[in-house]
Amino acid sequence: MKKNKYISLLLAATLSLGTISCSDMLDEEPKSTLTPEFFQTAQGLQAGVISAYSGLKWLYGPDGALCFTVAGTDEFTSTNAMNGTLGSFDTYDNNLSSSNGSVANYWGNGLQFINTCNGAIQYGETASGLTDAERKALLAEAHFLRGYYYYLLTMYYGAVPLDLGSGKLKFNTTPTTTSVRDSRSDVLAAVIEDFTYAKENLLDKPSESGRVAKPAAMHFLAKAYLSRATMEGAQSSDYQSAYDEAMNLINNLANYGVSLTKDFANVNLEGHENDPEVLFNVQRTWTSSGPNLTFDESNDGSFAVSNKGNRANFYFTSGYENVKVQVGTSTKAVVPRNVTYQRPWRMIMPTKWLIFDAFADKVNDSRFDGSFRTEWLAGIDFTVKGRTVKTGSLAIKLSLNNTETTAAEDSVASTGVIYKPYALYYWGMLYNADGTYKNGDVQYIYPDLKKYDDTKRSNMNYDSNRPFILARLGETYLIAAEAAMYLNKKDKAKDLINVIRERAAYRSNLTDAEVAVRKAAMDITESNVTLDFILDERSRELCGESWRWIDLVRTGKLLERAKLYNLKAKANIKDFHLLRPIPQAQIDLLSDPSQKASYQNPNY
Amino acid sequence: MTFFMKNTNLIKPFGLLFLFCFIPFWAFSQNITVKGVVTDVNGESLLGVNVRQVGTAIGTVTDIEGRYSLQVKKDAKLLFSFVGYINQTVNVDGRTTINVSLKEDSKTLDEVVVVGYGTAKKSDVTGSIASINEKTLKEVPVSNIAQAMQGRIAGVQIQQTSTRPGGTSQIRVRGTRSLTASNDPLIIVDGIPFGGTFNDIAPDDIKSVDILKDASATAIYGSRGANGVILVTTNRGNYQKATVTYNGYAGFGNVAKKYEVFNAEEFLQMKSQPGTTWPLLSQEEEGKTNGTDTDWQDLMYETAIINSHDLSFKGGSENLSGSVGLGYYNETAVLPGQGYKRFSVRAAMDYKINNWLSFGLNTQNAFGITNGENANYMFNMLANSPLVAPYNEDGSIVKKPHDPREDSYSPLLAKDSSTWTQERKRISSLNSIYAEIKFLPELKYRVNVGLNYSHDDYGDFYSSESCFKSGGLSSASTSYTTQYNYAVENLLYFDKTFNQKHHLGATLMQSVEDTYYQYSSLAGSNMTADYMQFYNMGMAIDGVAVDASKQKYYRKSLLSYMGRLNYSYDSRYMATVTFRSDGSSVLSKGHKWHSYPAIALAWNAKNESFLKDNSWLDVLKVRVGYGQTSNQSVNPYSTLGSLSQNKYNYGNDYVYGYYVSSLPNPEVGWEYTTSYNAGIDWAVFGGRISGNFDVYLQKTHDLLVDQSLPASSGVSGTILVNVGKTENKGFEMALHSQNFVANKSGDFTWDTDFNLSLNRNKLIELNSGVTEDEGNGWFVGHPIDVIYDYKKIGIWQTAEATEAAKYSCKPGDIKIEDHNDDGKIDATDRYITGQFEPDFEFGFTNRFTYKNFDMDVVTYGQVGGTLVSTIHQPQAYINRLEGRRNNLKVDYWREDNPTNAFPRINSAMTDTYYSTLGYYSASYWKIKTITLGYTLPEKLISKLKISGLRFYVTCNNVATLFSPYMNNAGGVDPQPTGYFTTENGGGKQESRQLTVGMNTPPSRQFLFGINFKL
Repeated sequence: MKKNKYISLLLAATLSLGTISCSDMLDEEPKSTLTPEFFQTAQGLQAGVISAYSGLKWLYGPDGALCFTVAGTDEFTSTNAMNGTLGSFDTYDNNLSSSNGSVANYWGNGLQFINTCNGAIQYGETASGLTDAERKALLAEAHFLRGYYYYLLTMYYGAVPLDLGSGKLKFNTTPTTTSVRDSRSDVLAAVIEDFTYAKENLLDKPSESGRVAKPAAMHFLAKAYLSRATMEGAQSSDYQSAYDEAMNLINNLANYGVSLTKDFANVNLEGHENDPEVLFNVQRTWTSSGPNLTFDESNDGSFAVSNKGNRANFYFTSGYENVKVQVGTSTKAVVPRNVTYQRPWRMIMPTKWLIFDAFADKVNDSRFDGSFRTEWLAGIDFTVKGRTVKTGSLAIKLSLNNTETTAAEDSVASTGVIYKPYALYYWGMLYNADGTYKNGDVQYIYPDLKKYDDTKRSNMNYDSNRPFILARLGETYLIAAEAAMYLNKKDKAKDLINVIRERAAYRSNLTDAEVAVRKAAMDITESNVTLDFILDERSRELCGESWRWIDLVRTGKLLERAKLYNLKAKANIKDFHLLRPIPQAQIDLLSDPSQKASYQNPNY
Repeated sequence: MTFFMKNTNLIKPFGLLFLFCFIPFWAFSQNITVKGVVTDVNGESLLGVNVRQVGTAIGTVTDIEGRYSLQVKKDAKLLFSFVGYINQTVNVDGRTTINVSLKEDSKTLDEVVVVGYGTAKKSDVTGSIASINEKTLKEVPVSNIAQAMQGRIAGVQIQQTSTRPGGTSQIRVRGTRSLTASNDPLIIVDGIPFGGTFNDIAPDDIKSVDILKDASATAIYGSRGANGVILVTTNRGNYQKATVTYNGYAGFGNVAKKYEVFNAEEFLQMKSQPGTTWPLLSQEEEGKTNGTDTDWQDLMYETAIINSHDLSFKGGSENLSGSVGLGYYNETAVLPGQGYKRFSVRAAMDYKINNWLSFGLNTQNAFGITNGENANYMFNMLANSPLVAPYNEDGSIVKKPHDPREDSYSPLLAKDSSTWTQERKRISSLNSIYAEIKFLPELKYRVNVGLNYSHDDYGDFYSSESCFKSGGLSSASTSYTTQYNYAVENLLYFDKTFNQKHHLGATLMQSVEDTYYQYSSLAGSNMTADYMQFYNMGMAIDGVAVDASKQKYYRKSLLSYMGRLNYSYDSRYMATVTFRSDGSSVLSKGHKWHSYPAIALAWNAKNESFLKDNSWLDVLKVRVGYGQTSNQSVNPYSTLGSLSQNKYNYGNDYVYGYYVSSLPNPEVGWEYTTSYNAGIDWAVFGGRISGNFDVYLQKTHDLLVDQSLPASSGVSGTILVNVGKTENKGFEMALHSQNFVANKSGDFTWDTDFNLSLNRNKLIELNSGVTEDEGNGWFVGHPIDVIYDYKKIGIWQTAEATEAAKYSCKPGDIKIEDHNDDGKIDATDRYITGQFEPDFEFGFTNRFTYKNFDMDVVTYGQVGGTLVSTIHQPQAYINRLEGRRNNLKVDYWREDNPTNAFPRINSAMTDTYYSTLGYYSASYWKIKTITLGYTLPEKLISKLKISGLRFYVTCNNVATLFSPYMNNAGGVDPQPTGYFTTENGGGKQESRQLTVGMNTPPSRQFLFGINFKL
């Protein structure tokens, strides 16, 4: 009996151990991850808006993004180092296809953060825990960012879906494999609505650097109207609306704390990314003492994060390190790779048209010198033909006026490079007489776009940590001028353009009197005001600043100008290239065969 | 052929093992009485040994002191047989006293095997189970038993995942079946599910490993059985006198084969090729003048030192058995900064309180330190120019021997351990406790409680001066992983024989299992002082990154009920029926529970009356089985949807953002595998030759696959769906043969183990209608892991210039097969040109003894299959053939060398076709281990008052034969060095695949060991 008692006790004890096992053990409670319900809280909504800002890093700075925005235009073309899928944005060859990864970057990130903004807008109205001011700011920023992403998508891809699975402009929370694209005019209408909402609700001045405020909304609203005015769905009032929105900003600069920078050379200089001229930028973590790599999400050092680094500083940099001299038994770079002159990836180079036609005047107009580098200082001591060059003195010079020449004995026959004692390249070594590009080493040297120079990196091969400027007041004047031109107010257009041109006449080393003379020389008359002139002016002011491809598309000038000025694009570019291909993965993953069949843009 | 045998008991072992003839011969003569004692090799008497005159029914069994007495003919042969021991046949030769000592052999057919939730006699087993015992495992002295198991078991493929000390192995039982879920088998240690690695258990602590291969055997593990189950049993004490055992070895290892790269002369020849545009660097010019020819590998490689010591105490009394053990293992590598060390402590106790109650516990604790687990400077070493001097005139290291553009430091700096470290410290503790109550002789209750814990502390540091940072900012990172789980199992056993012929066994089980996991990591940049390494992350000048995606927690739970019924009739017909029901936390609500059935039948034909008296057939058993299992590898919380973090800053205000990266998924269930198995177990000639054959078919459906959603859904991540089917079918064979057996102690003996297995894997179906998923490398109708690429058919030769030009190629370029014959080479010319799965694999082990010497030779290999040598592909940068860096010494094309092996030197090479240079036949035959041992004679042993002492010398990684990769392409070893990761270079293989890359080369080791027993 005693034995049985123990047994039953033990059995009861062990069985009870086993039966703690009720089914609620099978319910899951995550602790280290967030689930989509987080978006219904105030904290979640604010985090959503932050992530939508951060998403822009993917679109401005990484490899593919840079090719996407400026290559293949009249301004910039590819070198022989940029080939394959990246180069196809310049050459419009078969690699510019639906399987091109850069095409998927814009499409995928755009829609991802549009949905995030949808969530913020949808739940932002009702979420508890927000003050009225916070709620207003949150909704306004979410509307602005959604408008911004949709504007990019529709300009690049044409029709894009407004319904992601849970209804038009609604936050999608269900796995869905169907999709219908909405027409560009519907999308632009939604964009204009979003920017309008943002303009009405944003603060006049940003509460912090990098946050969007009213001026940015006005700038992009004007740009959206101007875009629609020349595209499908155009409204007769669009030019006027564009003009009004831009002028509303220009006429009230003091209200918004916005102003033009005095010296063009400082507009894109590092450290000036949050100046009063800048209306909107993608923040990064540059400071004069170095970046905060943790938050920068660049690929530097041990902080390797996805592909969000800003490589604009590599892309436009020529191969200066390839100019070599004989030192003893070996050849050495006269300007070794260094952090001042950036990592020489030499991917994108200016077209001949940009350097010689757009910037025909490099004297009165300070913008060529403010945008490009043509001289490089020696990084080593070296001797050529008995002439010694010391570290820090001029080592490479690219002569663009072709006037500087020298005796034949100074040249090195095998390369054609002239040493006097610095290495002199002249423009004729870059281009053949017909404007085609020369191959070989000489192509290593071309004017470096220095707008993205970043000298505060800890290693010369690291990405840039500078904020990327997306809108600045200088462009607002040109938007207003363009609208005025279409409205036939050429005098207004002339005045607006002259503001920008006169600013460009200024150089810090000139006296006031000298500047005054140059300003006068820069001024244009009403008769100068044409669409082509405005596009040229945009190049002088904005070259390399990520909008050229869209600007040429919305003005209907891409084909004409790419064929005229971009010899690599000339051969292949066709009408259908006015739209980017829809990524193949998007189409492959659709489950409805009829949607699959009709989803792609024509000819891709 | 007939052999007349008198004094020796010989068989003909030559030629194919299963083709020898054996015809005994005996003459008639008078009866005599033979007496003797049967003992084991330690001199302990054996009770119940069967002694039988061969060819007759005359026989007896030994008594408690091992004595027997039998009347037989003068020239008779006696067969001594006993469960768990090798049969021995002895010629009487007129002797009247014959003492026999039997050798233990758990390979005999009546051994006890572990079947999961219990044990069974091998003769009663109905499923496909392979066992490997302690002795076999010890034949290959290595740091973990997975390595010792390689090539030893038919149907179990084991491949290393790293060539470095402390590396783990990938184990596949009967192929792969899952596309994205795990293909790893379930590991059970002493009855408790085990989440660690085999490094956590010292090989010396392991008594046996049993592998459940087919679903009729694995179905009792239900939702975790689909990939096979490995049951590890560790050593326990004994209820006898105390013993002290010491097993130890020490030795050294050297690089078995260096990577072949160009020497100075060959490098210059490459540099002088017309295709290269990379002139000599200034330091190379100097080296050329000075006649420098640096072999960077010689400068880097060191001698590895291996030490292993294991001490154990066992003993007990009638009711109590206990054991305690201590272990130490230390292995350094052939490259600086790499090594593995382990300290282990174990204890086991079993206590029989009375005749109905007993309990026991077992604890295994290990502390392991792995250094340099993946920090890699091989490229830095191999691509370095042989023309560059490694040292300055004053003896200091040349800091920047490379192209200044690469701005990287010399690999020799890696020898300075103060410049970098990578260290993982892992402590693990496996504990199991049981209690057993016998209610009735046939009814027993048992509770098992398992408590496991493991903790990993990882840290790395790379100083600015190391070759990993080359002057950039120093960096450090730390992380920890903690995992603990408990399992409680309640078991009820019933076992009874009715009417002598009906034997019924039943097992009922209920269990709960709960696993917790935590992981956290920090990374810092620019450390204040190098000597701090990673020990104070707060002093990282450029801040510390706490990446949200690298902080993890989960808990997962499993509730189970299981029932098993064994029935056998007259030891002739046997049936096992299993049923298990599992509920898991990781699945969607409403899909959490599933039940798994299995049935297996066996027919022991030998026990039928018509075979019972057959003199040469000892065992003939036929088995068939069917069962369903599944795969539980769904990550916790994956059905709930999740957010991802990104970062932003408003000026200097640093903030975190979140966005939806995966959507909730209400419908995920498990993937199921249905399997069929048929097998034959047999033994002939008194057990001299035994073996088994198995054929199987496994069908897996509702495969778990991560499905991407179109970007238009606004969510970038994937959702898990159940789609698709795969299939595995195959054949396995295991043979054990005693080619020579001893008549008397000291005679020459020779045993052979041979196994062979082949598996045919096939992807039957993907998502609806999809037949090719290029993104994941899956193709319906082909194995899961294939090579899908262009096919290199040679090199364009000078005479073919015109033809080559049609494809925009020049002589010296790779000639690609125009597979679709459309006159151009484009993406449509790619096709499946190879597969990872071999035609068949085999293992072949031979053991010899003569007098006090023993020797064993362990070999294994495979025939067929393709290996991917990533070092030959462009992403590794040491076979780009562009003349920029040093290159693998390959036979490249020149006008005066019209080879078809490798293309010309060409700076403008395109990567597109260079991947085709990395595919080779994966066939090889590896002589893994040769051991020569000497056991001290008994006389000496007893004088020394010890029970045993053996000395041995072992050579590990002796040779690799018949490897086309090594012989034709200069490969270092045909076995994989790791998973194909982005580190190797984002080429055309999938990250799940094991490839041969640029890793620490395998070493050949010489070990000297002692087995001592008191």
